[in-house]
Amino acid sequence: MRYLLLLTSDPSRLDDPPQVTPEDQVINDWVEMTRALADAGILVAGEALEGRDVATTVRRRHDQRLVTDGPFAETTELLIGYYLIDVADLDAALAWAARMPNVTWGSVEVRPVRPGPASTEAMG
Amino acid sequence: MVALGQLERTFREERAAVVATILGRTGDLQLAEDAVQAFAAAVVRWEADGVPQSPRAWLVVVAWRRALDRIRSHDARGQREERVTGSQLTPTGDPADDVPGATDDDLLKLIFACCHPALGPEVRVALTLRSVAGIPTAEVARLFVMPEATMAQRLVRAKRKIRDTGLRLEIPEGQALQERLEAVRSVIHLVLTAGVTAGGSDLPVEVGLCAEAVWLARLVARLTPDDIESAGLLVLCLLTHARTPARASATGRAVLLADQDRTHWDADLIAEGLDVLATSRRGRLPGSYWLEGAIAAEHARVADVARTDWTRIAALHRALAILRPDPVTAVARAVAVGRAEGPAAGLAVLRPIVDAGTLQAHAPLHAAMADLLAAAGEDAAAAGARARAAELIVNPTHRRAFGCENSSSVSSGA
Repeated sequence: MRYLLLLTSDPSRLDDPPQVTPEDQVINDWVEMTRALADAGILVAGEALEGRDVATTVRRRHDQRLVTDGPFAETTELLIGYYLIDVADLDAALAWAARMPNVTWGSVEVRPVRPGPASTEAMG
Repeated sequence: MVALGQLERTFREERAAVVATILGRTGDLQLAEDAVQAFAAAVVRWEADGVPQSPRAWLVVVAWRRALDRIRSHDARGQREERVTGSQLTPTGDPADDVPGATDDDLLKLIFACCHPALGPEVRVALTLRSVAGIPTAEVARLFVMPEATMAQRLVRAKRKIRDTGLRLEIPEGQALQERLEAVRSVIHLVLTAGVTAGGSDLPVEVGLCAEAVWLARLVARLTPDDIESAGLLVLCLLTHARTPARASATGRAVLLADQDRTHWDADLIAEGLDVLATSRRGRLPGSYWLEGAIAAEHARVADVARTDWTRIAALHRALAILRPDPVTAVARAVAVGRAEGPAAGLAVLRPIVDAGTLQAHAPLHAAMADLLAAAGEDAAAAGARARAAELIVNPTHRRAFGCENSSSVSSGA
Protein backbone atom coordinates (compact mmCIF):
# COMPACT_ATOMS: atom_id res chain seq x y z
CA MET A 1 0.00 0.00 0.00
CA ARG A 2 1.17 3.48 -0.80
CA TYR A 3 1.30 6.20 1.77
CA LEU A 4 2.11 9.88 1.48
CA LEU A 5 4.22 11.21 4.32
CA LEU A 6 3.58 14.96 4.56
CA LEU A 7 6.48 16.57 6.36
CA THR A 8 5.93 19.76 8.30
CA SER A 9 7.88 22.01 10.57
CA ASP A 10 6.35 23.91 13.45
CA PRO A 11 8.02 27.32 13.84
CA SER A 12 6.58 27.73 17.35
CA ARG A 13 8.67 24.75 18.41
CA LEU A 14 11.95 25.85 16.85
CA ASP A 15 13.23 27.25 20.13
CA ASP A 16 12.04 24.40 22.30
CA PRO A 17 14.66 23.06 22.81
CA PRO A 18 16.91 25.60 21.14
CA GLN A 19 18.02 24.62 17.65
CA VAL A 20 21.70 23.92 17.82
CA THR A 21 21.85 21.60 14.83
CA PRO A 22 23.93 23.15 12.07
CA GLU A 23 22.27 23.42 8.67
CA ASP A 24 24.46 20.89 6.86
CA GLN A 25 23.73 18.30 9.51
CA VAL A 26 20.04 18.78 8.93
CA ILE A 27 20.60 18.20 5.22
CA ASN A 28 22.63 15.11 6.04
CA ASP A 29 19.78 13.74 8.12
CA TRP A 30 17.48 13.99 5.12
CA VAL A 31 20.03 12.49 2.75
CA GLU A 32 20.35 9.52 5.07
CA MET A 33 16.58 9.23 5.38
CA THR A 34 16.08 9.16 1.62
CA ARG A 35 18.88 6.64 1.25
CA ALA A 36 17.37 4.42 3.95
CA LEU A 37 14.00 4.43 2.19
CA ALA A 38 15.62 3.64 -1.12
CA ASP A 39 17.73 0.86 0.33
CA ALA A 40 14.61 -0.65 1.87
CA GLY A 41 13.10 -0.67 -1.62
CA ILE A 42 10.06 1.34 -0.57
CA LEU A 43 10.75 4.81 -1.91
CA VAL A 44 8.39 5.82 -4.70
CA ALA A 45 9.09 9.56 -4.61
CA GLY A 46 10.26 12.27 -2.25
CA GLU A 47 11.34 15.87 -2.33
CA ALA A 48 12.10 18.83 -0.11
CA LEU A 49 10.01 21.86 -0.92
CA GLU A 50 10.93 25.53 -1.09
CA GLY A 51 9.30 27.62 1.62
CA ARG A 52 5.80 29.04 1.57
CA ASP A 53 7.17 32.46 0.65
CA VAL A 54 7.66 31.16 -2.85
CA ALA A 55 4.33 29.34 -3.06
CA THR A 56 1.66 30.39 -5.53
CA THR A 57 -1.92 29.17 -5.51
CA VAL A 58 -4.21 28.81 -8.51
CA ARG A 59 -7.99 28.56 -8.42
CA ARG A 60 -10.80 28.97 -10.88
CA ARG A 61 -13.90 30.71 -9.57
CA HIS A 62 -16.83 32.12 -11.55
CA ASP A 63 -15.00 31.12 -14.69
CA GLN A 64 -12.03 33.26 -13.78
CA ARG A 65 -8.51 32.05 -13.18
CA LEU A 66 -7.27 33.37 -9.86
CA VAL A 67 -3.62 33.35 -8.95
CA THR A 68 -2.68 34.28 -5.41
CA ASP A 69 0.63 34.76 -3.69
CA GLY A 70 1.21 32.20 -0.95
CA PRO A 71 0.04 28.72 0.10
CA PHE A 72 -3.55 27.47 -0.25
CA ALA A 73 -4.15 27.93 3.48
CA GLU A 74 -2.47 29.85 6.23
CA THR A 75 -1.32 27.36 8.82
CA THR A 76 1.01 27.44 11.79
CA GLU A 77 2.82 24.39 10.54
CA LEU A 78 4.77 24.70 7.32
CA LEU A 79 4.86 22.05 4.62
CA ILE A 80 8.53 21.33 4.00
CA GLY A 81 8.51 18.18 1.90
CA TYR A 82 7.06 14.75 1.27
CA TYR A 83 7.84 11.10 0.74
CA LEU A 84 5.67 8.65 -1.16
CA ILE A 85 6.41 5.13 0.07
CA ASP A 86 5.12 1.66 -0.71
CA VAL A 87 4.91 -0.57 2.37
CA ALA A 88 2.88 -3.50 3.68
CA ASP A 89 0.48 -1.62 5.94
CA LEU A 90 -0.14 1.45 8.07
CA ASP A 91 1.97 0.16 10.93
CA ALA A 92 4.98 -0.05 8.64
CA ALA A 93 4.34 3.48 7.36
CA LEU A 94 4.02 4.77 10.93
CA ALA A 95 7.31 3.14 11.86
CA TRP A 96 9.07 4.95 9.01
CA ALA A 97 7.28 8.21 9.85
CA ALA A 98 8.61 8.00 13.41
CA ARG A 99 12.15 8.00 12.01
CA MET A 100 11.79 11.22 10.04
CA PRO A 101 14.28 13.92 11.08
CA ASN A 102 11.53 16.50 11.66
CA VAL A 103 9.44 14.59 14.22
CA THR A 104 10.83 16.54 17.16
CA TRP A 105 10.37 19.98 15.62
CA GLY A 106 7.45 19.27 13.32
CA SER A 107 5.08 16.49 12.39
CA VAL A 108 4.55 13.80 9.78
CA GLU A 109 1.06 13.18 8.48
CA VAL A 110 0.60 9.68 7.11
CA ARG A 111 -2.15 9.48 4.48
CA PRO A 112 -3.01 6.33 2.52
CA VAL A 113 -3.09 6.74 -1.23
CA ARG A 114 -6.47 5.88 -2.67
CA PRO A 115 -6.04 3.36 -5.44
CA GLY A 116 -8.10 3.95 -8.54
CA PRO A 117 -8.06 4.53 -12.29
CA ALA A 118 -6.60 8.06 -11.91
CA SER A 119 -3.56 6.98 -9.91
CA THR A 120 0.05 6.89 -11.04
CA GLU A 121 0.06 3.14 -10.73
CA ALA A 122 -2.90 2.80 -13.04
CA MET A 123 -1.03 4.69 -15.76
CA GLY A 124 1.50 1.88 -15.91
CA MET B 1 -27.71 -0.76 31.26
CA VAL B 2 -29.61 -2.27 28.37
CA ALA B 3 -29.55 -5.90 29.36
CA LEU B 4 -28.12 -8.39 26.96
CA GLY B 5 -30.18 -11.54 27.40
CA GLN B 6 -28.68 -14.16 29.65
CA LEU B 7 -27.92 -16.50 26.79
CA GLU B 8 -26.54 -13.65 24.69
CA ARG B 9 -24.09 -12.80 27.44
CA THR B 10 -23.01 -16.40 27.67
CA PHE B 11 -22.12 -16.44 24.01
CA ARG B 12 -20.53 -13.03 23.76
CA GLU B 13 -17.14 -14.54 23.30
CA GLU B 14 -18.47 -16.69 20.50
CA ARG B 15 -19.85 -13.59 18.78
CA ALA B 16 -16.58 -11.72 19.22
CA ALA B 17 -14.59 -14.64 17.85
CA VAL B 18 -16.72 -14.79 14.72
CA VAL B 19 -16.48 -11.02 14.21
CA ALA B 20 -12.74 -11.38 14.67
CA THR B 21 -12.46 -14.13 12.09
CA ILE B 22 -14.36 -12.26 9.40
CA LEU B 23 -12.35 -9.13 10.14
CA GLY B 24 -9.18 -11.13 9.70
CA ARG B 25 -10.29 -12.46 6.34
CA THR B 26 -11.77 -9.28 4.89
CA GLY B 27 -10.19 -6.36 6.76
CA ASP B 28 -13.70 -4.94 7.12
CA LEU B 29 -15.04 -4.64 10.65
CA GLN B 30 -18.42 -3.23 9.61
CA LEU B 31 -18.94 -6.16 7.28
CA ALA B 32 -18.01 -8.54 10.08
CA GLU B 33 -20.50 -7.01 12.48
CA ASP B 34 -23.27 -7.03 9.90
CA ALA B 35 -22.55 -10.67 9.22
CA VAL B 36 -23.05 -11.65 12.83
CA GLN B 37 -26.37 -9.88 13.12
CA ALA B 38 -27.82 -13.31 12.77
CA PHE B 39 -26.40 -13.88 16.24
CA ALA B 40 -29.38 -12.51 18.14
CA ALA B 41 -31.83 -14.55 16.09
CA ALA B 42 -29.64 -17.62 16.53
CA VAL B 43 -29.64 -17.23 20.27
CA VAL B 44 -33.41 -17.02 20.32
CA ARG B 45 -33.55 -20.28 18.38
CA TRP B 46 -31.11 -21.90 20.76
CA GLU B 47 -33.27 -20.96 23.71
CA ALA B 48 -36.09 -22.90 22.06
CA ASP B 49 -34.20 -25.76 20.41
CA GLY B 50 -31.23 -26.12 22.69
CA VAL B 51 -27.66 -25.00 22.16
CA PRO B 52 -25.73 -26.75 19.36
CA GLN B 53 -22.67 -28.76 20.30
CA SER B 54 -20.27 -26.14 19.00
CA PRO B 55 -21.94 -22.75 19.01
CA ARG B 56 -18.88 -21.03 17.59
CA ALA B 57 -18.65 -23.33 14.58
CA TRP B 58 -22.37 -22.92 13.95
CA LEU B 59 -22.12 -19.13 14.03
CA VAL B 60 -19.03 -18.98 11.86
CA VAL B 61 -20.65 -20.92 9.05
CA VAL B 62 -23.73 -18.74 9.00
CA ALA B 63 -21.84 -15.47 9.34
CA TRP B 64 -19.15 -16.37 6.79
CA ARG B 65 -21.66 -17.16 4.08
CA ARG B 66 -23.49 -13.96 4.84
CA ALA B 67 -20.25 -11.98 4.59
CA LEU B 68 -19.42 -13.54 1.23
CA ASP B 69 -22.87 -12.75 -0.11
CA ARG B 70 -22.44 -9.17 0.94
CA ILE B 71 -19.08 -8.89 -0.74
CA ARG B 72 -20.29 -10.34 -4.01
CA SER B 73 -23.48 -8.33 -4.26
CA HIS B 74 -22.00 -5.09 -3.05
CA ASP B 75 -18.84 -4.67 -4.98
CA ALA B 76 -18.86 -3.87 -8.69
CA ARG B 77 -15.14 -3.31 -9.00
CA GLY B 78 -14.36 -6.77 -7.75
CA GLN B 79 -11.77 -5.38 -5.42
CA ARG B 80 -13.32 -6.49 -2.16
CA GLU B 81 -13.38 -10.14 -3.11
CA GLU B 82 -9.65 -9.93 -3.73
CA ARG B 83 -9.27 -8.70 -0.20
CA VAL B 84 -10.52 -12.01 1.08
CA THR B 85 -7.17 -13.56 1.73
CA GLY B 86 -6.56 -16.42 -0.60
CA SER B 87 -3.86 -18.11 1.39
CA GLN B 88 -6.18 -20.64 2.92
CA LEU B 89 -8.57 -21.31 0.04
CA THR B 90 -9.50 -24.89 -0.65
CA PRO B 91 -8.49 -26.55 -3.95
CA THR B 92 -11.76 -25.52 -5.57
CA GLY B 93 -10.77 -21.91 -4.98
CA ASP B 94 -14.24 -21.12 -3.69
CA PRO B 95 -14.14 -19.18 -0.45
CA ALA B 96 -17.57 -20.52 0.46
CA ASP B 97 -16.03 -23.96 0.89
CA ASP B 98 -13.41 -22.66 3.22
CA VAL B 99 -15.09 -21.67 6.44
CA PRO B 100 -12.54 -20.07 8.70
CA GLY B 101 -12.11 -21.31 12.22
CA ALA B 102 -12.62 -18.62 14.84
CA THR B 103 -9.55 -18.91 17.00
CA ASP B 104 -8.14 -17.17 20.03
CA ASP B 105 -5.57 -15.56 17.76
CA ASP B 106 -8.41 -14.00 15.79
CA LEU B 107 -9.91 -12.65 19.00
CA LEU B 108 -6.65 -11.07 20.00
CA LYS B 109 -6.36 -9.49 16.54
CA LEU B 110 -9.81 -7.99 16.89
CA ILE B 111 -8.95 -6.47 20.25
CA PHE B 112 -5.69 -5.11 18.86
CA ALA B 113 -7.51 -3.62 15.89
CA CYS B 114 -10.01 -1.82 18.12
CA CYS B 115 -7.17 -0.50 20.30
CA HIS B 116 -4.84 0.51 17.49
CA PRO B 117 -2.93 3.76 18.20
CA ALA B 118 -4.02 5.20 14.85
CA LEU B 119 -7.53 5.47 16.32
CA GLY B 120 -8.30 8.20 18.84
CA PRO B 121 -8.24 7.12 22.51
CA GLU B 122 -11.96 7.66 23.12
CA VAL B 123 -12.87 5.86 19.92
CA ARG B 124 -10.77 2.88 21.02
CA VAL B 125 -12.88 2.53 24.16
CA ALA B 126 -16.15 2.94 22.27
CA LEU B 127 -15.12 0.51 19.55
CA THR B 128 -13.93 -2.10 22.05
CA LEU B 129 -17.23 -1.90 23.91
CA ARG B 130 -19.18 -2.16 20.66
CA SER B 131 -17.22 -4.70 18.64
CA VAL B 132 -15.53 -6.84 21.26
CA ALA B 133 -18.02 -6.73 24.11
CA GLY B 134 -21.07 -6.51 21.83
CA ILE B 135 -22.65 -3.59 23.66
CA PRO B 136 -25.37 -2.01 21.50
CA THR B 137 -24.47 1.39 19.99
CA ALA B 138 -27.25 3.16 21.89
CA GLU B 139 -25.80 1.97 25.18
CA VAL B 140 -22.26 2.97 24.25
CA ALA B 141 -23.60 6.41 23.32
CA ARG B 142 -25.28 6.75 26.69
CA LEU B 143 -22.09 5.81 28.51
CA PHE B 144 -20.27 8.58 26.64
CA VAL B 145 -23.13 11.03 27.21
CA MET B 146 -23.51 11.47 23.46
CA PRO B 147 -26.45 11.27 21.04
CA GLU B 148 -26.73 7.84 19.48
CA ALA B 149 -26.38 9.21 15.94
CA THR B 150 -23.09 10.92 16.83
CA MET B 151 -21.68 7.77 18.38
CA ALA B 152 -22.84 5.69 15.42
CA GLN B 153 -21.03 8.08 13.08
CA ARG B 154 -17.83 7.91 15.11
CA LEU B 155 -17.90 4.13 15.09
CA VAL B 156 -18.55 3.99 11.34
CA ARG B 157 -15.65 6.35 10.73
CA ALA B 158 -13.36 4.28 12.91
CA LYS B 159 -14.30 1.06 11.14
CA ARG B 160 -13.75 2.76 7.79
CA LYS B 161 -10.35 3.82 8.94
CA ILE B 162 -9.50 0.26 9.93
CA ARG B 163 -10.56 -0.93 6.50
CA ASP B 164 -9.21 1.80 4.25
CA THR B 165 -6.04 2.85 5.99
CA GLY B 166 -4.39 -0.55 5.93
CA LEU B 167 -4.17 -1.04 9.67
CA ARG B 168 -2.05 -4.10 10.31
CA LEU B 169 -4.25 -6.88 11.60
CA GLU B 170 -1.47 -9.32 12.44
CA ILE B 171 -0.41 -9.79 16.03
CA PRO B 172 2.84 -7.87 16.45
CA GLU B 173 5.97 -9.21 18.10
CA GLY B 174 8.54 -8.07 20.60
CA GLN B 175 8.46 -4.43 21.58
CA ALA B 176 5.51 -3.65 19.32
CA LEU B 177 3.47 -6.39 20.99
CA GLN B 178 4.18 -4.94 24.43
CA GLU B 179 3.14 -1.48 23.28
CA ARG B 180 -0.08 -2.74 21.76
CA LEU B 181 -0.90 -4.79 24.83
CA GLU B 182 -0.38 -1.68 26.91
CA ALA B 183 -2.87 0.17 24.69
CA VAL B 184 -5.40 -2.63 25.19
CA ARG B 185 -4.94 -2.56 28.95
CA SER B 186 -5.34 1.21 28.91
CA VAL B 187 -8.73 0.83 27.24
CA ILE B 188 -9.90 -1.76 29.75
CA HIS B 189 -8.67 0.37 32.63
CA LEU B 190 -10.57 3.34 31.21
CA VAL B 191 -13.73 1.25 31.10
CA LEU B 192 -13.24 0.27 34.76
CA THR B 193 -12.54 3.85 35.83
CA ALA B 194 -15.56 5.12 33.92
CA GLY B 195 -17.66 2.50 35.72
CA VAL B 196 -16.49 3.59 39.15
CA THR B 197 -16.55 7.32 38.45
CA ALA B 198 -19.97 7.06 36.78
CA GLY B 199 -19.61 10.53 35.29
CA GLY B 200 -22.59 10.19 32.99
CA SER B 201 -24.93 8.74 35.56
CA ASP B 202 -27.10 9.68 38.49
CA LEU B 203 -26.29 6.39 40.17
CA PRO B 204 -23.25 5.82 42.34
CA VAL B 205 -21.73 3.31 39.92
CA GLU B 206 -22.10 2.15 36.34
CA VAL B 207 -22.46 -1.51 37.15
CA GLY B 208 -22.50 -2.52 33.51
CA LEU B 209 -19.15 -0.86 32.76
CA CYS B 210 -17.47 -2.50 35.74
CA ALA B 211 -18.81 -5.85 34.61
CA GLU B 212 -17.58 -5.21 31.05
CA ALA B 213 -14.14 -4.35 32.35
CA VAL B 214 -14.03 -7.67 34.19
CA TRP B 215 -15.18 -9.56 31.09
CA LEU B 216 -12.60 -7.85 28.86
CA ALA B 217 -9.83 -8.30 31.42
CA ARG B 218 -10.65 -12.00 31.79
CA LEU B 219 -10.58 -12.40 28.02
CA VAL B 220 -7.24 -10.65 27.57
CA ALA B 221 -5.70 -12.51 30.51
CA ARG B 222 -6.80 -15.78 28.96
CA LEU B 223 -5.36 -14.81 25.57
CA THR B 224 -2.03 -13.68 27.08
CA PRO B 225 -1.45 -16.26 29.81
CA ASP B 226 2.18 -15.43 30.53
CA ASP B 227 1.67 -11.70 30.88
CA ILE B 228 1.86 -10.53 34.49
CA GLU B 229 0.38 -7.15 33.66
CA SER B 230 -2.70 -8.70 32.04
CA ALA B 231 -3.10 -10.76 35.21
CA GLY B 232 -2.59 -7.67 37.35
CA LEU B 233 -5.24 -5.75 35.47
CA LEU B 234 -7.62 -8.66 35.91
CA VAL B 235 -7.00 -8.64 39.66
CA LEU B 236 -7.69 -4.90 39.78
CA CYS B 237 -10.93 -5.29 37.82
CA LEU B 238 -12.13 -8.25 39.89
CA LEU B 239 -11.44 -6.64 43.24
CA THR B 240 -12.85 -3.30 42.19
CA HIS B 241 -16.03 -4.85 40.83
CA ALA B 242 -16.31 -7.00 43.97
CA ARG B 243 -17.12 -3.83 45.85
CA THR B 244 -19.95 -2.84 43.47
CA PRO B 245 -22.82 -4.19 45.62
CA ALA B 246 -21.64 -2.01 48.53
CA ARG B 247 -21.20 1.24 46.61
CA ALA B 248 -24.81 2.33 46.89
CA SER B 249 -26.89 2.57 50.04
CA ALA B 250 -30.49 1.40 50.10
CA THR B 251 -31.54 4.96 49.36
CA GLY B 252 -29.20 5.32 46.38
CA ARG B 253 -26.50 7.31 48.14
CA ALA B 254 -22.89 6.68 47.21
CA VAL B 255 -21.02 4.85 49.95
CA LEU B 256 -17.29 5.40 49.96
CA LEU B 257 -14.66 2.76 50.65
CA ALA B 258 -14.09 3.33 54.35
CA ASP B 259 -17.82 3.19 55.05
CA GLN B 260 -18.86 0.28 52.85
CA ASP B 261 -20.55 -2.75 54.36
CA ARG B 262 -17.94 -5.34 53.52
CA THR B 263 -20.36 -8.22 53.97
CA HIS B 264 -21.87 -7.01 50.70
CA TRP B 265 -18.63 -7.39 48.79
CA ASP B 266 -18.69 -10.26 46.31
CA ALA B 267 -16.73 -13.04 47.99
CA ASP B 268 -16.35 -15.08 44.79
CA LEU B 269 -14.80 -12.20 42.86
CA ILE B 270 -12.48 -11.49 45.77
CA ALA B 271 -11.41 -15.10 46.01
CA GLU B 272 -10.76 -15.18 42.27
CA GLY B 273 -8.83 -11.92 42.38
CA LEU B 274 -6.64 -12.98 45.29
CA ASP B 275 -5.96 -16.27 43.61
CA VAL B 276 -4.88 -14.66 40.34
CA LEU B 277 -2.70 -12.24 42.28
CA ALA B 278 -0.92 -15.04 44.11
CA THR B 279 -0.43 -17.36 41.14
CA SER B 280 0.61 -14.69 38.65
CA ARG B 281 3.63 -13.41 40.53
CA ARG B 282 5.84 -16.47 40.01
CA GLY B 283 8.93 -14.69 41.19
CA ARG B 284 8.71 -12.10 38.41
CA LEU B 285 8.99 -8.37 38.73
CA PRO B 286 5.51 -6.91 39.19
CA GLY B 287 4.19 -4.35 36.74
CA SER B 288 2.12 -1.29 37.57
CA TYR B 289 -1.27 -2.98 37.17
CA TRP B 290 -0.13 -5.89 39.32
CA LEU B 291 0.86 -3.43 42.04
CA GLU B 292 -2.51 -1.69 41.77
CA GLY B 293 -4.13 -5.09 42.09
CA ALA B 294 -2.02 -5.81 45.17
CA ILE B 295 -3.14 -2.53 46.70
CA ALA B 296 -6.77 -3.40 46.01
CA ALA B 297 -6.11 -6.79 47.61
CA GLU B 298 -5.00 -5.12 50.82
CA HIS B 299 -8.49 -3.67 51.11
CA ALA B 300 -10.26 -6.80 49.89
CA ARG B 301 -8.65 -9.21 52.33
CA VAL B 302 -9.66 -7.22 55.41
CA ALA B 303 -13.18 -7.60 56.84
CA ASP B 304 -12.82 -4.64 59.18
CA VAL B 305 -11.61 -1.33 57.76
CA ALA B 306 -9.79 -0.58 61.02
CA ARG B 307 -7.43 -3.47 60.30
CA THR B 308 -6.29 -2.08 56.94
CA ASP B 309 -2.54 -2.42 56.62
CA TRP B 310 -1.69 1.12 55.51
CA THR B 311 2.02 0.57 55.96
CA ARG B 312 1.93 -2.22 53.43
CA ILE B 313 -0.26 -0.15 51.11
CA ALA B 314 2.14 2.80 51.34
CA ALA B 315 5.05 0.49 50.49
CA LEU B 316 3.18 -0.83 47.45
CA HIS B 317 2.48 2.72 46.37
CA ARG B 318 6.16 3.57 46.61
CA ALA B 319 6.97 0.64 44.34
CA LEU B 320 4.21 1.80 41.99
CA ALA B 321 5.67 5.31 41.92
CA ILE B 322 8.85 3.99 40.31
CA LEU B 323 6.85 2.64 37.38
CA ARG B 324 4.30 5.47 37.32
CA PRO B 325 5.95 8.69 38.47
CA ASP B 326 2.99 10.81 37.29
CA PRO B 327 1.18 13.20 39.65
CA VAL B 328 -2.22 11.50 39.36
CA THR B 329 -0.79 8.26 40.76
CA ALA B 330 1.01 10.28 43.44
CA VAL B 331 -2.30 11.59 44.82
CA ALA B 332 -3.43 8.13 45.92
CA ARG B 333 0.04 7.49 47.31
CA ALA B 334 -0.17 10.66 49.41
CA VAL B 335 -3.30 9.43 51.15
CA ALA B 336 -1.77 6.04 51.90
CA VAL B 337 1.42 7.61 53.21
CA GLY B 338 -0.69 9.95 55.32
CA ARG B 339 -2.54 7.02 56.87
CA ALA B 340 0.62 5.03 57.49
CA GLU B 341 3.00 7.76 58.63
CA GLY B 342 0.89 10.72 59.68
CA PRO B 343 -0.66 13.63 57.74
CA ALA B 344 2.54 15.66 57.54
CA ALA B 345 4.21 12.91 55.51
CA GLY B 346 1.20 12.69 53.21
CA LEU B 347 1.10 16.45 52.71
CA ALA B 348 4.80 16.40 51.84
CA VAL B 349 3.93 14.15 48.90
CA LEU B 350 1.10 16.42 47.78
CA ARG B 351 2.70 19.83 48.11
CA PRO B 352 4.90 19.71 44.99
CA ILE B 353 1.90 18.58 42.95
CA VAL B 354 -0.25 21.41 44.25
CA ASP B 355 2.56 23.89 43.63
CA ALA B 356 3.08 22.66 40.08
CA GLY B 357 -0.54 23.59 39.43
CA THR B 358 -1.20 21.02 36.70
CA LEU B 359 -3.93 19.11 38.57
CA GLN B 360 -6.10 22.03 39.63
CA ALA B 361 -9.14 20.48 37.92
CA HIS B 362 -8.55 17.01 39.37
CA ALA B 363 -11.09 16.31 42.12
CA PRO B 364 -9.10 13.56 43.89
CA LEU B 365 -6.23 15.99 44.46
CA HIS B 366 -8.42 18.36 46.43
CA ALA B 367 -10.12 15.47 48.18
CA ALA B 368 -6.72 14.18 49.29
CA MET B 369 -5.75 17.66 50.49
CA ALA B 370 -8.98 17.88 52.49
CA ASP B 371 -8.31 14.44 53.97
CA LEU B 372 -4.78 15.20 55.09
CA LEU B 373 -5.43 18.77 56.26
CA ALA B 374 -8.33 17.57 58.41
CA ALA B 375 -6.16 14.83 59.91
CA ALA B 376 -3.53 17.49 60.63
CA GLY B 377 -6.12 19.61 62.46
CA GLU B 378 -6.18 22.39 59.84
CA ASP B 379 -9.97 22.49 59.64
CA ALA B 380 -10.45 25.73 57.76
CA ALA B 381 -8.03 24.79 55.00
CA ALA B 382 -9.57 21.32 54.87
CA ALA B 383 -13.04 22.80 54.39
CA GLY B 384 -11.75 24.90 51.51
CA ALA B 385 -10.18 21.90 49.81
CA ARG B 386 -13.35 19.86 50.34
CA ALA B 387 -15.46 22.58 48.73
CA ARG B 388 -13.09 22.72 45.76
CA ALA B 389 -13.26 18.95 45.35
CA ALA B 390 -17.07 18.95 45.52
CA GLU B 391 -17.19 21.54 42.72
CA LEU B 392 -15.20 19.23 40.48
CA ILE B 393 -17.00 15.95 41.16
CA VAL B 394 -19.38 15.22 38.29
CA ASN B 395 -21.49 12.41 39.69
CA PRO B 396 -24.15 13.93 41.96
CA THR B 397 -24.25 11.00 44.38
CA HIS B 398 -20.48 11.13 44.83
CA ARG B 399 -20.64 14.87 45.34
CA ARG B 400 -23.30 14.48 48.00
CA ALA B 401 -21.41 11.68 49.74
CA PHE B 402 -18.27 13.75 49.80
CA GLY B 403 -20.10 16.72 51.19
CA CYS B 404 -21.75 14.73 53.98
CA GLU B 405 -19.02 12.37 55.10
CA ASN B 406 -16.50 13.47 57.61
CA SER B 407 -14.22 10.69 56.58
CA SER B 408 -12.26 11.41 53.47
CA SER B 409 -12.71 8.15 51.67
CA VAL B 410 -13.23 9.85 48.30
CA SER B 411 -9.50 10.43 48.05
CA SER B 412 -8.65 6.82 48.75
CA GLY B 413 -11.11 5.68 46.17
CA ALA B 414 -14.26 3.64 46.33
